[in-house]
Amino acid sequence: MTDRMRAVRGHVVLVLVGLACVFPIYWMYATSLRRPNDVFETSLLPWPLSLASYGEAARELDVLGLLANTTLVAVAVAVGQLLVALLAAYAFAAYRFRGEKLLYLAMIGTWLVPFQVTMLPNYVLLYQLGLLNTLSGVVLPQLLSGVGVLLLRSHMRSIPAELLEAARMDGRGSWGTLWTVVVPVLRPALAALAILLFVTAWNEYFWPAMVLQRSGAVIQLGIRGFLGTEGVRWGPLMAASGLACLPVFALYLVLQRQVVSAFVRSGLR
Amino acid sequence: MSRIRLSGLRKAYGDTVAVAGIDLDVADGEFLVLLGPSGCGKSTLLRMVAGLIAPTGGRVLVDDADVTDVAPRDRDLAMVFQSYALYPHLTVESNIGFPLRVRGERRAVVREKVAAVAAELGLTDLLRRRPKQLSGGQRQRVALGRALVREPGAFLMDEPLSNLDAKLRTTTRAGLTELHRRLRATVLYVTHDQVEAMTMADRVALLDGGRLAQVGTPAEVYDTPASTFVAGFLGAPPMNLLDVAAVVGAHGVRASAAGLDLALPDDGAGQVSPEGSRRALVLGVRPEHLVVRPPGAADAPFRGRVLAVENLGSEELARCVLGDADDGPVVTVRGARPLGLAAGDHVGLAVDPARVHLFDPDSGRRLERRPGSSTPSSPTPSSPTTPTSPAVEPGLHGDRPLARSLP
Repeated sequence: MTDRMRAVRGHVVLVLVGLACVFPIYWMYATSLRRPNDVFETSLLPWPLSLASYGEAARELDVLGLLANTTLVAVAVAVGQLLVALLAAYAFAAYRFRGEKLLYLAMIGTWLVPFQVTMLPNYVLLYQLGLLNTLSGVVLPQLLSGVGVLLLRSHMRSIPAELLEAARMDGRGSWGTLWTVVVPVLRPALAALAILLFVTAWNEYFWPAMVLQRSGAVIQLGIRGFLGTEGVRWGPLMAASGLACLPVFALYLVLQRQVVSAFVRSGLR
Repeated sequence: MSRIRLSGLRKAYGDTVAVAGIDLDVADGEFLVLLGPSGCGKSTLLRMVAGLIAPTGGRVLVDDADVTDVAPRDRDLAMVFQSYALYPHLTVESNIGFPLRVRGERRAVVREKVAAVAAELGLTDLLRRRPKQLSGGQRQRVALGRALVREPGAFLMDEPLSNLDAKLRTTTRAGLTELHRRLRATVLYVTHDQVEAMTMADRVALLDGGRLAQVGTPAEVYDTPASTFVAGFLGAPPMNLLDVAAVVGAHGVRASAAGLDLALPDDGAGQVSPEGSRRALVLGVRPEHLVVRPPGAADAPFRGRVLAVENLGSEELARCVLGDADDGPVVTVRGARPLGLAAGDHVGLAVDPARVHLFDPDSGRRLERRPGSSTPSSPTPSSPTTPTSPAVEPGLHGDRPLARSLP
C-alpha cells in the first residue's frame, strides 16, 4: 500500500471517530434549538429555529445562579487540587526524605481507590463536621488529586536539575524557585492539568447530589429536575445541558494552545 | 576576588565514596582546573564547593571563612553549568539580571549592570530573545553573563564548553582565558578535556576515583606525572607504559622486556644492590620522545615492528609492537610527518634517558631519581596533596633502596 493510501485511510478513520465524538454534542444543541413540538424530529438540521426550550429552562431553573454555584465549586476544586498537587509534586520531585516513596504511593493510591469506597466514610465525616449541605462540604474531600500529583511530579522530574541548582546559586530559596522557575517552566502542563481537573469537577454529579441533598445547588442537579416521573422533557433538558457545557468550552478555548503543546511535549519526553 | 580552601572534603553515598578527603587551595585570582575522567568525583567536588551538595566530611573555606554550612546564595560564588541552565521562560536580559533581581537590586541598577555585561560579551543585540532562540555559543555567553553580573568572589565552572562544537570551543576557550586575565578572577573549572586544562589552567588538579592524583602547573603534571594514572591520562596519545624488569648487572641497571633492553643511568646501583637482583617496574615514555632509528641500530634500545601508521596532518603516529611475538607490548611513536615508516616495517626506537619515567608497579607512584641520596625514593612531592596510597619503598632487593640507582 502506498504511503498516500495509508494516509488517506488513516484520515478516514480519524474523521469517523471525530464525527462520533462531536455528534452527540451537536445533537444536544440541535434538539435544544427545535420548537417544543419538534424535539423528536430526526432531521439533521433543526429548522425552524426556536429558543423556546431555553426560555422554559430559564423559567424553571435559576440557570445563572446554578452556573455560578457550579463554577464556584469547580474552580475551588480545580484550584485546590492544582495547588495541593503542585506542592506535593515539588516535594516529591525535589527532595529526598524518609518515607518519601511510601507517601507518594499512598497519594497515588487514592486515585486507584473507587469513589464508592470512600463515599460513605467521607459522608459520615462531613456529617460529624457539620458540613453537609454546604459547598465547602463538596470541595473539601476532593482536594487531593492523585493523578495531578503523578502528572506534575513526572513533569517536574523532566526539568533539568541544573536549572533548579542555578536558581539556588542565583539566590532563590525552595519557595522562590517553585514560583519563579518551576511554575513558569511547567505552565503548559499546569494549564492542561487545570482543564482536566476543572472539567472533572464540573461534570461531578453524584458527590454534590449526596452532600447538597437538594436540587437548587449546582447545574447538574438542576438538570435532573427535567427527568420527571411523567417523562423526560427533552427540550429544556438539552437547553440546560447545552448551557452547562459552555463554560468548559470557553475555558478550553482560552487555554487551548497550552493544552495542545503540553500533550505534544509529554509525548516527546 | 576570593581564595578557596578545601580541607579534608569528603562525600560518600552509602558505601560508595565519591570524593575521598580532598585538600586543595585555590589562590586568589588563580585559574585552577579540576581534571579527570567521568565519575572521578570532580563535579561532586565542585557542587560541594558551591553548596549544592552537603559534604559528608571536611570543610570549605572562602577567604578563611568556613562556609561549609552556608547556603549557596550566601557564599559569594557564581556557577556556570554544563547545560547552561538558562531559564527558558525569561529573555536574555531577564536571565542575566535574575541573580540581581533576586537580591533586591533596584530596577535601574539591574538594567545598567546587565547592559554592561551584555556589551562585554557581545550580547547587546540578543537581550530581547529567549534561550531557545539562541545558538549554543550564545547560550554559553548568557550563562557566563549571569555569573559575571553578580561580581562574585569566585567562579565555579562545570564543563562549560563541552556542549559546543570543536571550533567554537577553541575560540570560547581563548575568550575565557582572556576574561580571566582581565578580571584576575578566581576560577575553579571542571573538565574532562585535557586540552582545556593544559591551555587555560594556572594549575591543574587531577582526580582519580575521588582522590587527588596530582596538583601542579600544566607543565609539571605533563612532564613529571606523579603516577601511572596521570601519565596515562594526560597526552593524546598518552604516555607509553611498559612492564619491565630492572636487573642490576655489572655495568649498572638495565630495564628489559620483550624487544627492550635499556640502560638506566648508573649512579652506583651495583654498590647498593648485589649483582643479579631484579625488580619489576613500570617504564613510561611519551610517544613524542621516541625517535625512529634503523632496525638493529646500536643506540636503539627498543626494537619492534610497525603495526599501523596514522596521519594527523602535521604529524604521524606509528603503533609498534615490541619484540618478535605478535602479542608483545605496544608503543606509540609520534613525530613530524613523514616518519618514514609503513606497516610491517621493522624498526628501532631510541629515547633520551632523561625522558624516561619510572613507576612502582604496585602503587603506580612515580619513582624519583635522587642521585647520591641514601634515602629511599618516595612518591613525587610535586603536589601539596597527601599521598593517595602508602609510599611503597621501591627497593631492588629486600629493603635496599633503588633510589640511588634509578633515574
